[in-house]
Amino acid sequence: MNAREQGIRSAAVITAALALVGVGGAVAVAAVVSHSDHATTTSTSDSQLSTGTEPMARTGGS
Amino acid sequence: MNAEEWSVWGTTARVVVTEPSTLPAARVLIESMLSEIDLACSRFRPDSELMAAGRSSGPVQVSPLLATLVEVALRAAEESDGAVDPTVGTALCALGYDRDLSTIDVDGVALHVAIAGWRSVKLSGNALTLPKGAVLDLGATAKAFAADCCARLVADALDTGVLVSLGGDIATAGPAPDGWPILVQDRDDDPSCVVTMPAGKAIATSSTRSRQWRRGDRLLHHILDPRTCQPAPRMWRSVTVVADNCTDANTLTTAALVNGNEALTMLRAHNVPARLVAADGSVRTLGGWP
Repeated sequence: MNAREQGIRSAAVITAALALVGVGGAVAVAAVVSHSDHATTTSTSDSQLSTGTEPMARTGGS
Repeated sequence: MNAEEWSVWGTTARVVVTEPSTLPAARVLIESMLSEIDLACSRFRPDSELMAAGRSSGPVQVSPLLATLVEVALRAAEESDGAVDPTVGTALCALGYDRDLSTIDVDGVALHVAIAGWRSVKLSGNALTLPKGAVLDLGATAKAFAADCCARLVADALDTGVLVSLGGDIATAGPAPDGWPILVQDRDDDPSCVVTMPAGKAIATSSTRSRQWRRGDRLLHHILDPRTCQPAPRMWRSVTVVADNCTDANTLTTAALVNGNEALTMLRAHNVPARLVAADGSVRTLGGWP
């Protein structure tokens, strides 16, 4: 079972699906494997970055 | 925009969505994903699949999820010429980092052990063979990879632009017309800036001042040089990289700290926007960093 195939969109339905059929794991694995299949080594010549204000998140040591 | 934060894996998770109504579902999906990944590869819980594999001799059939996580770690090791080596887990344990940072025994002795090296880890399909006694630390890649996967999962399932941050490893997916402004600052006494990334980009920072612990008379940090099995010299306080995905970004930031003097050359060769804070607090930028 896959949440995307079912067209699940609402929080309530997804929550119920996760609780009842453990779809979370299947979705997670599908997303991981899909992402891994498409991962490529990065090389960015045009950074497309700019300075900004009012940050939405912080990157720090990890 | 709407955001939520919560604690996970000894750090903070944050999700920001461009469609506010999707926020509750986004959090559920992310928590589910992180729970699955933790059960697969945590080295702090004896019931994880990774720790069970370490107790076995010979090849072990592991789940597709764990196989993928190990594959990603081995790929990072290869692409970093061994600077990001998952087998440093054995050395981290010997230095006392064998449990959550908040519970480390500060009175213990920091031991030095050799590691088997990433090439000794064999993965064939889903069959994983670990060197005897080896403990894999997937921390350098699994958290960043989890951020990548969570962002993709939320964007695909909920049709929203999304930013997912796991302890400062940040991935984005879906639309973000105004980009994603990110505060770049490791510790509060470090120099800071705000950089805006276009939709789909990722950013990561690695640090020699975060995730520290005391062991006897030594103050240690978690970025180990696989050649010495000791914490990398503190030539850089932190390194930040922007890349197409968070896994690549984190691999480069970790490798830069390990490479020390060679970090600038290495980052220039990869042609990525990067920002390095030296031990004296001075800042170097390259690769089109604004």
